[in-house]
Amino acid sequence: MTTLVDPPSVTSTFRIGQLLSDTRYRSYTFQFIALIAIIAFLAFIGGNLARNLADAGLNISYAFLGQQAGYDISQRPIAYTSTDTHGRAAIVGLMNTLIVAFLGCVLATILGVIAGVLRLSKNWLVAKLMSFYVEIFRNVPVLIWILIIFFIFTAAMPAPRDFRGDDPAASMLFGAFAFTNRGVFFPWPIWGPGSWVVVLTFFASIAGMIGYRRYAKMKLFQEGVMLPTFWPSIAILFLPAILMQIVMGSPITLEYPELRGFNFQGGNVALGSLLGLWLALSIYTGAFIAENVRAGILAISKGQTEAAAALGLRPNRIMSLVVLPQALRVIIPPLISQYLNITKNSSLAIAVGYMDLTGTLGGITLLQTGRAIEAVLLLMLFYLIVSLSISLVMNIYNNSVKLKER
Amino acid sequence: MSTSHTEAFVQKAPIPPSEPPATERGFVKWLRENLFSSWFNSILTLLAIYCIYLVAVPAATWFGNGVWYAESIRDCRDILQGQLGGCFAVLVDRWDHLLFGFNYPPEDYWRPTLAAILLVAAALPIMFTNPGMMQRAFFYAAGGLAVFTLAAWGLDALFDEQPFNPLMGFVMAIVLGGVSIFVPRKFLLIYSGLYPFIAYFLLWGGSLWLPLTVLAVILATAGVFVLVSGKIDLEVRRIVAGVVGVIAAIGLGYLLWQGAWELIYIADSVGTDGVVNSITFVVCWLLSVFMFLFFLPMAGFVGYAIFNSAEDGGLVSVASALMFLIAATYGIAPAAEFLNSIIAIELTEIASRQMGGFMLNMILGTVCVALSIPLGIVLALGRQSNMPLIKGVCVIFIEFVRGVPLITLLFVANVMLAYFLPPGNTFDLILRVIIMITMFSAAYIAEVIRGGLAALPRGQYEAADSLGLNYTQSMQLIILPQALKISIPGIVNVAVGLFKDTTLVSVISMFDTVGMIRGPIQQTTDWLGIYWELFGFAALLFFVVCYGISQYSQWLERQLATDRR
Amino acid sequence: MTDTTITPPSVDMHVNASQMKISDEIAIQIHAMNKWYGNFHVLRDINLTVNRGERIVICGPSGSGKSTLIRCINALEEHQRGSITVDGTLLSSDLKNIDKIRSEVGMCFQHFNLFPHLTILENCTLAPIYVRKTPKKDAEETAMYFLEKVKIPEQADKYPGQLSGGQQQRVAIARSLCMRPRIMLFDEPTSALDPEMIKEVLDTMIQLAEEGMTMLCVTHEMGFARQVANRVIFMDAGQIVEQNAPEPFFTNPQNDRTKLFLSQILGH
Repeated sequence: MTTLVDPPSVTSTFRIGQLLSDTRYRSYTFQFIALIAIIAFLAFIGGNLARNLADAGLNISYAFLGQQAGYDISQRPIAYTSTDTHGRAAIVGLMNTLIVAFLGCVLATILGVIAGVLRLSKNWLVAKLMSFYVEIFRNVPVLIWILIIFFIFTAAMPAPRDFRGDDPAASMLFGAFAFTNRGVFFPWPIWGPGSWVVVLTFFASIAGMIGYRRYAKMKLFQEGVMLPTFWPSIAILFLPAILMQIVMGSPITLEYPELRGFNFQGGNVALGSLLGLWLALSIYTGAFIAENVRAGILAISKGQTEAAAALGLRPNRIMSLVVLPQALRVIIPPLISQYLNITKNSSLAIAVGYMDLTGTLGGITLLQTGRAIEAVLLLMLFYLIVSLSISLVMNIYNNSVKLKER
Repeated sequence: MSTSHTEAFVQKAPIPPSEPPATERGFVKWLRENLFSSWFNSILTLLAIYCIYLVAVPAATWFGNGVWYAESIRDCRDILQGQLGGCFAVLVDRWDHLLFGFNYPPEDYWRPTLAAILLVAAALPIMFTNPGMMQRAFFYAAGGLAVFTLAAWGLDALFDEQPFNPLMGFVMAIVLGGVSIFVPRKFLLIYSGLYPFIAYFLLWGGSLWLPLTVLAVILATAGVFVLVSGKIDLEVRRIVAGVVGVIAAIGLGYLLWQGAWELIYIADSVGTDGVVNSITFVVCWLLSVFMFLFFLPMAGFVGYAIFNSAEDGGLVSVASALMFLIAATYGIAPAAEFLNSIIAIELTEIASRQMGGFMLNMILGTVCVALSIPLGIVLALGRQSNMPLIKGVCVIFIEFVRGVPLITLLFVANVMLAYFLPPGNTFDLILRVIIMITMFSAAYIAEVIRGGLAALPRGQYEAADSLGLNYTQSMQLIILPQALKISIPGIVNVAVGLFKDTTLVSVISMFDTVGMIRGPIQQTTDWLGIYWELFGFAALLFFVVCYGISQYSQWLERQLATDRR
Repeated sequence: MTDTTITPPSVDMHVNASQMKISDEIAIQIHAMNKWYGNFHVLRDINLTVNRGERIVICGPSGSGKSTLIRCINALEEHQRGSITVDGTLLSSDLKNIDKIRSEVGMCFQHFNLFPHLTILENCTLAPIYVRKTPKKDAEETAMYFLEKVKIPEQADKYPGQLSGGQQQRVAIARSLCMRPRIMLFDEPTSALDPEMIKEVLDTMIQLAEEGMTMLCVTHEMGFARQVANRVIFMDAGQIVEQNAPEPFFTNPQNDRTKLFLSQILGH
């Protein structure tokens, strides 16, 4: 054995070549070069922009948002007239986007879960039918579906005048719903005096139901007595409100649409564009969600079911206590990205004339004011905010359900 | 029983397998198990049958009563006389427009058709790595093409005054069939690499010399790279490195100097009115000072790095190849023109805006997917990087693009992108749309590939490191081949989604399939008010392609699952 | 699957440590080396000198830092303080340095880490071709030589997934050997293997040791340690607790932690 020599010191004189070859400096060197390249790239882009704007005699300004819009929006959740500003029109559009996205998410989830579960059904015909639905909708562009379903709600529906006369060509569904080419008319509640009592009762019932379920669980945990939960919950939820409605003398009434002249009056109306967009987005996305649901259920290994069965759990409890909690872990992340897709695809509203944000800010406002850059940037910003908030929710959820592992 | 535990047992003869009991076999059992296993299932079955009845009967009537010969929708209505029936005459009348757009010269329809057939031949060797499987795929493609040509010929003779010439279809069917027997996969892959040039020539026309020159330049660039990286002596490489280093330093210095001035120009034109403008003004000035400070050291350093890489040949070969490419680019157009003046091989030039119909969807789909895969790989690697700046840029790009709808990006292509390009540029709409869609799908593909990269065990990176492979080598030889293989099904899914999304270009008034239907076809008085037939046809076209690809993707997934690993 | 041609190592085949040549030349010298993962002090003041031809077995409870130690030697992990000198090359953050050391130090992993998309032969020729710039034909010859040495030349054209675990590990050893390393590091090479495959890998390692390869081996195969090692190092909590020749180490451990560890792994 040689004697232990003291190893030479690591710090030696700095050479320029170390910027590239030394792992301590290398990444800084690359990043510095990248930084310079990015600045140069942005400089050229920005220079082009400045030059092009100067040539066109334009500037970047968001003042147009305060100018009078001058166009009408037929579906408006808040008060809006053509004398309002472009900014307010954009807000109306924004709300319309959120409305159709929200409705779409709800319906798509329902359809998707049903189709996904039925696709795994032991019933051959039903399973095949659901596969057919999924494949047909997944493999055709959503724009084509939107146009087809929009067409069903406009051109293929009878005009309001067809509902007139003794022997009308068309009639209302259950005497309450009128499907016309101007939209679907449906009953709408009228909040009479005292209706707040009924509403309040209903909210109290929700609290009561939660309380009952807690109590049932406590009873199970502490005394080992299992109380029925399903029917009692439903009874607690609805009966008090219905009773209150009767006791108070029906403060909440429904107003039915009626044919007056050439159009329906009363009730409420959903335009064909909204319905077409909503249904098309829901059915289309439902097909994707069905696949996610199916994959989620299939992902839970048979061993889990068998283990639960071996412990003596009954099938529905296996589902609710063992399979579903695990399947949801698999299903929810892609489900949320499907929600994201609905929100983004709702921008196709422009194809059917539903005035969402893309139709107002990115459509008429852009055309009228010629403020292309500003309008498109604002448009993107909005969608980005929505997407990022949804992603944030997803990440929080993912972290909360992450399996605790070593 | 209790004694049996202690008794020794040895089997004398094995028990042969036997048939299951009669109730467990046959069609009745199938019916009982699959359709009527419980009262609930029976109700479901009946409900399903009723639903099918509700849809299928009218649909069959509508199709059966369909009118195929008519001049206009009024003719159709006259013929149908109030009966339920489709007016398929519109498809017959506007068949060409649906496929090729209304501006494409009819005498050149064979060009996109041929390009489509050749696309199949180019795609199959990539899709099927197993030669036997590929051979069979080619065989089926040839058969399919022959049948299709025959059917189309027959139908065309029925409907059209000037039936098309089926010669090309049959010849190509024979070619595909021949290929399946005689040509090994290796050569077909070379052909696949050449396909983009062939397709460009067929679709856009002009001189054949243009794509050929581009190809030659690309090959020469690769040649320069190989030459400098390994084939030449160290002495020569030192000289090359010196020259290339100096040129790179001068060129880069000039570029950065320009960039710095550009920043001052922006600051000047923004001015100092208002808060936003003032901030932009100050930032631009600061950045330009930064650039003025560093443009010389930076250029010098890059030059030095190139010069210094003569030993291992890494950077200098990339730099010289790049430099050659830039220089050669200027020579492409004149060279092609010159060659064409000697031997003219050309097809009628067809402008991008003349293209439409399903062809446009196909072009956008294939071009954008092909371009976005390399970009997606770069983005995915960037996002995996441990350098915060590079990672940050990639994350911002990916999340931004994934966060906005494609339609807003198409708006960018339509009304905004031109502002960011140099004044007087000649990018036409289709090119701008291709740029934006490529960026869009690259972000999604990057996420798919990131998943593939993450799925690789860390040990693969470590093994590559411990063998002494550098970053480029370990990525190129070890990591990417595996990560891409895992990612293929995901990439195919993105491709299908993208292909469907190409219909969105109809919103910015391009005449793809949907644009054709909603514009030039439905707007004419002849066919005003026709919906089902046209959109049904469009849906069918997309369904055939997308369903086919997604089935392929699922097959691939199963293959990967059972593959050697 | 397993090669039956090799007779099981028995007492009479026992290779005495003194029979193998150990030169005076220093192969690895680790001096006052420290490493942290964040705030966690994984390796504490490691001092170790390995002479050429030495065969060292490192053992210790999981999480004691033994894998980290040998991974530091070929710079798979970075150490923060102290120095590592391999074959006279001081391991620094310079890439050229790292490359040089990696091409002289071979490494085998617990999970083999063969490249599943390449054949056995390609696995073995990859690094010689791309790192050493060996012509392909020569690289293949070398690869076949080493594949024969680990007794699986007939598998050369198969893919790793088609081989058993033991075969894969032997290929991994051959892959490292193809780079003609002067030092081999083994990171628990047998712990991912089924019992019947452990022997074939250990046999290969013994063979390697007999040829005088400098080896650092993290393993719990105490039989292997007794037979082959000329020094056994026991690590716990990131420190070298005890090191000694195998006989005294196993028969007469000094430190309480060593005693406890040995009683746990040899107790049944």
